[in-house]
Amino acid sequence: MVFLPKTLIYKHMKLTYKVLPIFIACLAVACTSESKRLKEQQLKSAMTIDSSECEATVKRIFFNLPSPVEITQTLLKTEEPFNSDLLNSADNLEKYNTSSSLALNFGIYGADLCYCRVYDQLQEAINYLSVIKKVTEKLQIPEEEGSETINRIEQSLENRDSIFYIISDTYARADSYLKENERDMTASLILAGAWIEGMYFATTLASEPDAKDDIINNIVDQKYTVANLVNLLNTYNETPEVSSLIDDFNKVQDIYNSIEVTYDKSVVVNTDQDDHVTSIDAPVTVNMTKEQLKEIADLIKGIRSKIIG
Amino acid sequence: MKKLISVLSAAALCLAINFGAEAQCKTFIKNECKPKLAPYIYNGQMNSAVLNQGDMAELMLTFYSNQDYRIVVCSDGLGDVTFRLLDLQGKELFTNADHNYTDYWDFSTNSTQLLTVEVSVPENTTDEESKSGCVSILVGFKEK
Repeated sequence: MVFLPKTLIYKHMKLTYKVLPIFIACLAVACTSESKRLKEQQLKSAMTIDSSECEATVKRIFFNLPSPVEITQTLLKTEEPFNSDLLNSADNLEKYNTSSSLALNFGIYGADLCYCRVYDQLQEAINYLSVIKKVTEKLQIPEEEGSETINRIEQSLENRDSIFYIISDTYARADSYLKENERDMTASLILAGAWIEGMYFATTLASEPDAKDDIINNIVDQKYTVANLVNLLNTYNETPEVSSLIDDFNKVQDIYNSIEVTYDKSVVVNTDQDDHVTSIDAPVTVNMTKEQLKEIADLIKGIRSKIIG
Repeated sequence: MKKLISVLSAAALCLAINFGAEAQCKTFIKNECKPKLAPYIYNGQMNSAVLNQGDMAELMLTFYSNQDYRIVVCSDGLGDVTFRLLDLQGKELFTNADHNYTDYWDFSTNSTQLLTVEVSVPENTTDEESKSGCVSILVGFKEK
């Protein structure tokens, strides 16, 4: 047995009492974040599990939305001419000072950037790159997770395919950083903003007299994404700004729910083991009336106006 | 005093493990999982969690008719993780259990629909202590 001198014991105790509160604080933070996450998981599990059939607990449920690249690729067809009036002006950036407004417009500007690139509008694309850089700084996303990737876009602007990969990477890094730092709501609002902008492009173009069926069908396809969007944002419904947005999206969802959908036959699945691919054949007929399209377009325009100011 | 030091040391170790597990998860996803998406474009959303044996996770995702998709389900040291693709009625459209528990698969649909990717970590059937590990579901897309 080793006996320590009294002075050493005293110094040891003094150090311990100074360090102890720090340890307890750190433990509290870890526990709080973990308990918050568990609470979120439990809420999501309670929302979706059919207890009569479920044998295992779903510990985590994720709701994904299309990224700025995917939503513009899904909704846009380049038969329609480029229209810069559809874009959110870069000058509006100075209006956005809250985390929510910055996040939503980060998504909107991302869709605008993709729109410019789809139409090979390089100068406009460069302008939006600059705006997006500033937004990431205002959102306090570190340079290596945000604007550094944007520099890569500037260097690759002429190569359309590379651009889309790099834009995706930019938003992926921001998403990852925000979620690691428990800013999940901000990450979700970015995607909501991108979706709204993509829908705004599509519904505006679909309102033209010579609008193609493709673009209208693509708008109809967003029925399922709206459901995911509402589910995703409902996690943050205690925040007033998000709560108001959820009310607006619920109105959009109500219109979509009223659209007549008929499944033509049973789902047929073909799997090719060698190519590692499964094709799903599930033909469906959707009847959206002009009135329903107009209602959706008006709601989307209204939501977007509130967001961009 | 000895007891206090032991408790503090244990707390410090737990904190380190907590932060370490999450950081390792991110590194694991970046190094091991994301490369498997190529040549599909990553949809940018990190769907990852530290799960225990016997746990499940789900991803709700719209599969658009004008895009093809790749789903990558990556796990770290949890054995043969199963992933299934289910439609809204719960009908199984695909399971990797029929394909040697492959960690990725490509999908295409002729009509846009909301599908669920359900991931299941196998139960602990040994006498060893239950394990936990990083599980991620990554989504890639490309135009048809």
